[in-house]
Amino acid sequence: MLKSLLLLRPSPAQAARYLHLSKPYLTAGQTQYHGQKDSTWWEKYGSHVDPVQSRSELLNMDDLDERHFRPVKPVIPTYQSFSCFHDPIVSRVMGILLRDGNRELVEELMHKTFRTIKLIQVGKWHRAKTDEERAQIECNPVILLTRAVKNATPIVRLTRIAKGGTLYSVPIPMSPDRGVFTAIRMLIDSTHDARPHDQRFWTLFAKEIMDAAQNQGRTIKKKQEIHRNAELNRAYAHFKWQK
Amino acid sequence: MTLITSCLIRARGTYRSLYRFYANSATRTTDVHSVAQDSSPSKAEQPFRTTINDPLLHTEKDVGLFYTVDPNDLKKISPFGKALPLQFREECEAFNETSVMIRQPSLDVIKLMKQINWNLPPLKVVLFPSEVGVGMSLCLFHVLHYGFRKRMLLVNTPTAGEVLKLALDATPSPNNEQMWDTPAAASAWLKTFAINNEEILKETDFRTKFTYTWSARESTPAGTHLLDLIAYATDRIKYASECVGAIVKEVKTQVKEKNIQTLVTFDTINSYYGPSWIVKPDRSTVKPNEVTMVKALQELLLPDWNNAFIVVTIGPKGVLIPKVREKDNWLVHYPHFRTEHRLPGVLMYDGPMTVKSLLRTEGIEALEPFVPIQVQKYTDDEFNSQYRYYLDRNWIQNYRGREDEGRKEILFFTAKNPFEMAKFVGSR
Repeated sequence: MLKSLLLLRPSPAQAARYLHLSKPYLTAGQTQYHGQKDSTWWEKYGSHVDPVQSRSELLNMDDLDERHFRPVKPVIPTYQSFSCFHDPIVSRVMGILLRDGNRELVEELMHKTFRTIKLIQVGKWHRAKTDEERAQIECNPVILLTRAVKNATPIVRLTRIAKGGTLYSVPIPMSPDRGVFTAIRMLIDSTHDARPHDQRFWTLFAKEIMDAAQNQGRTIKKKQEIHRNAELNRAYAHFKWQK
Repeated sequence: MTLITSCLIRARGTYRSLYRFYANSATRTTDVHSVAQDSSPSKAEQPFRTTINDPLLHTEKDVGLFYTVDPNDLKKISPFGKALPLQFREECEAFNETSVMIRQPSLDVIKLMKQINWNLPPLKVVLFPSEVGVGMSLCLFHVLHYGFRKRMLLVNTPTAGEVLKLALDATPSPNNEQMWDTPAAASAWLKTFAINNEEILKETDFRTKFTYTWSARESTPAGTHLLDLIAYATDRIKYASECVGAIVKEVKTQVKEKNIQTLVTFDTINSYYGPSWIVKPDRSTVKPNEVTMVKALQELLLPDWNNAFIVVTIGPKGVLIPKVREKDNWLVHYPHFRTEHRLPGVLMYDGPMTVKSLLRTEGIEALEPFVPIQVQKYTDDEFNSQYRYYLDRNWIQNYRGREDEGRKEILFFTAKNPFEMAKFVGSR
C-alpha cells in the first residue's frame, strides 16, 4: 500500500484519459481520446492569451500586461522568425518545395535562386545608363517573387458537378489561399519542365520567377489556360448554386 | 493560480506591489540595446574605398579599404578568370567592377618581398586560414597584382587542385611509362604563363638554353624564344605537360643570369600532397607524384635557384576526400548527414584545420622552411567597410537590411567571416 502511494499514478477516473500513453499498440481513436476535455488544441488554449508577436512589442511591453499573469498560448514551432530578413511568402514557398523534411536543402535552393536573380538584376542596374532605367529595374528578389505569385494566381477553377447523370466541368471561384498555393505550385512544376534541363534548379527557377513577374513565361501560360477553360465552360457556372 | 490572479486583477490598486510574485515571466523587460552603443558618426565618415588603385603604393593605412582593379590588368593576370574564386567573379560581373579589399596578410607578404635578399634560395610564404572562407585567394590575388605591377616574372598556378580533381583527359605519358599527362590543364597553364609574362619575355628576349627532344623525330633546338615554345606546345598538346617541365627548368636556370625577379604562386597547394581523382584502368588511383605537371611544378619549391619568392595558399578544397562511389556512402543521402558533404569542393574535410593536417608530412617536408602567415576573419572596421561596400553596390536589397538593425543581424549571423557574409548577403 505504501509503495503504491509512492508511485504517482492517476486515479481510475483519470486513467481513461491517459490510455493512449499506457497502451501504445492502440491508435488514438481506439483509446477514446478524442472527445475528452481539452483534447483539442483550440479547446485547451482557447482562453489563453496570444503571445508577443514582434521585437518592438517585447521591448515596449507594460509591466502590468496581461501576459505576465494569464496563461499564454504556446508559440507554434514553425520557422517563424523575428529576423529582419524573414518573409512569410518565402517561408510558404520553402514549405511547398519541402520534401522528406529536407529543410536545409530547400533553404539552400532558395538562397541560390535569390542570388541568381540578384546577380542578373544588379548587373542590369549597374549597366543602365539613365536614372529612369535604373528606377524601372527591380532588384529585390522578394518583391519579384511577390509580383510573380500575384500574376500567376488564378481566380477560378473547374470542379466536376454531377447533374442528371452526367459530369459537368463547372467554373467556381477559388479562395485566395488556394490561389497562392496553386501559383507557387505552378511555378515549381514549370521549373521542373523547363528546358535546357541540364541546368541547375535554381537558375531555371530564377528565370521562371522573373518571367512571371513580367507576365511572360510558362507559368502565366498555364494560368491563362485555366482561365480559358473556365471561360469555355461559363454556361454551367450556375450549377454551383442550382443544386 | 488563475483564481488568485483574477482576484488580484479585480482588486486593482490594493495589491499592485504584490503582482510580481504571481508573474509568469520577468515583469521588467531589459532593454537589449542599453548596452554600450558603438559610435555611429565615426563609422559613417570613414571611407571604405581608396583612390589608389596601384598595389605598389598601398600602405598600412589602407587596411580595410577597397581598391578597384584595372580591367586590362585583370585580363593580363587571369586570362581565364581562374585567379579569383567563382562566387567573387560572379559578383564582380554584377557590380561591373572588380574591387579587392586590402588586408593585413597581403601587406605583410609585400613587406617581406621588399626586404629579402634575392641572392639566397627562394623564401616560401604560406598563407593558412584560421577558418574556412577567410579570403586567402583574394590576398594571393593582391600579391599577384603587386608582382605584376612591379614587372616580376609571374609563375602562377591559379587552381592547383583542378589538375588532379577535374582532369577528364588524363593520358599515360608517351615518353615516361609511369607518369601521367594532363594535356588540357597543361595547355591552360602554358597560355596563362604566356599572357602573364608577354612583355617581360619579349623585353629580355628569353630564349631556351637546352634542347628538348619530345620524341624520335620532334625536338626543339636551344635558342627558341619561350613564347614560340609555348605556341608549339599548345599546337602539339601531346607534349604540353612536358613543356611545363621544360619551362620550369628554363626559368630556374636563367632567372639569375637575366636578373629578373620571379614570383611563384600556388593556390591550394595541399592538393599536391593529397589523394587525386585520376583513376588508372585497373581502378587504382594515381598519386600526385606520378602526374607530370605536378612533378614539374613541385621542382619550383626546391632551394636550388634564387631570385624568386614563393607564396602559397592552403585550403580545405585542396585536401580531397578520395573518390568513393555514392553507393558505398549510404550516409551521404540521409538529409541530416548531408550538411558537410552537400557542396562539393567546399569543406569536404572533416579534420582539424591546422597546417599540419592540411598539408600532411609530405607537404611540410617539401615546403619547409616556410614563413606561415595566418589569414584571419574580418575585424570590426573591415566588416563595416565590407558592409558599406555592399550597400554602395546595391547588393543588400532588403529595406530593413540597409538599416543599423540589419547590420547588427548580419554581424550576428556571419560572425565576421567573409565567405559566410558573402553568402548571407547574397541570398537575401
